[in-house]
Amino acid sequence: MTTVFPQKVLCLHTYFPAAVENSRYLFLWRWCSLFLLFVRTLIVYAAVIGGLRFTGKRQLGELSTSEFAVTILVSELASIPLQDTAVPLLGGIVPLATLLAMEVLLSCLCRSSRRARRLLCGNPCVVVKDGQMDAKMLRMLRLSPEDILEGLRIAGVPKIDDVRYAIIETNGQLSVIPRADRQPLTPSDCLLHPDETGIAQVLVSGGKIIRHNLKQLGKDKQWLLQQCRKRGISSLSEVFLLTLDDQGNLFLQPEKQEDNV
Amino acid sequence: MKRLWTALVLLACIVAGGAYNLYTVSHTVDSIVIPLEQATAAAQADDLTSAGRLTQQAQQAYLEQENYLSAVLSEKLLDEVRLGFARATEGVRAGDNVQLAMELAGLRQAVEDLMRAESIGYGNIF
Repeated sequence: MTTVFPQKVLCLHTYFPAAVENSRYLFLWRWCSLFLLFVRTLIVYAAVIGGLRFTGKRQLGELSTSEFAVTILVSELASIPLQDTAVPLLGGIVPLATLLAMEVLLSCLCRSSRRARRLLCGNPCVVVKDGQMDAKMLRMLRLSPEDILEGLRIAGVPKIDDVRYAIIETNGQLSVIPRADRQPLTPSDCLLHPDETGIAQVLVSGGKIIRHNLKQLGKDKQWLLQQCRKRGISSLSEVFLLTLDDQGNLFLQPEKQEDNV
Repeated sequence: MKRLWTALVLLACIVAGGAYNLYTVSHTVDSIVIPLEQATAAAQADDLTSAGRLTQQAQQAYLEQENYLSAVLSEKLLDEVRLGFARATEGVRAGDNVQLAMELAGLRQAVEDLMRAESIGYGNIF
């Protein structure tokens, strides 16, 4: 009885001729087929990750219309060559590269041309001004007053009278600017000048020194050890987390000791 | 700015690759179809020896490009061509010139479908 193998697997005939002659080796072909899927998945995964990194951080934050479209299409395109090995890998990778390159080009175009930005991303729309909803704008955006009230509640402004401006941004989010007398009190309103807090940088994580951060803060290993000893820790391997901010505030969490049973 | 240039280079590579692919597939299809047409003519003239030789020549031209075609075309289309060659080879072996001419016509159609799948036209775009 002749065994029929899928053609992509048959390409391995050159390397495993004995397997074609003897159907006892069928398991080897099946394994090869799975291995093929494994390799294809790795390639597509690398292409998607590389492509999304190429478009930059914009893709991972709030999505604009074109970015949203690209994200949906990328996930669909990536799955096609994975589901069907009869579809060439290039059939998934070429459209993926085209889409992501076009996305980068369009985002550059939006940055340089106001008209292109308006066409592709739209404009922010003021829906509430001085506590009054703009009915015409709401109709245009196909939003109901209830939708706006819901957005205001989410933003922490329950009364529409308190709103100076409410704006639907190009990414669809509602930005709310309360009236000046309804805005939260800040230290500067009370003529207070609290100290700035710095950004904490991790210097030791899981007993390992993060040399880049240490160098950035102008410290060295000796200084670290000194700080640890001051807190009763003799070795860096006993440190779970050590951070230091640019105001000189140090935080140290030792590794938990195993309970003796 | 670096990203913009990379995107432009990527798009240029895709366009150039597409053009190269179109040329290669077209060239390969031509190199297979010409001997197949001659083989069909030979089969119709009851010259099975020439028909067999020309079919083998066409198969050789296909095998030389099979790896490339596998990378750019659907396996279903290539399976049709492989099946066509297998049937045509059996047709030569059976010595039936009418049957062989029919098999060669089917094979030629399958080979031309490779180009049809790649060509830029309304049919493929829509």
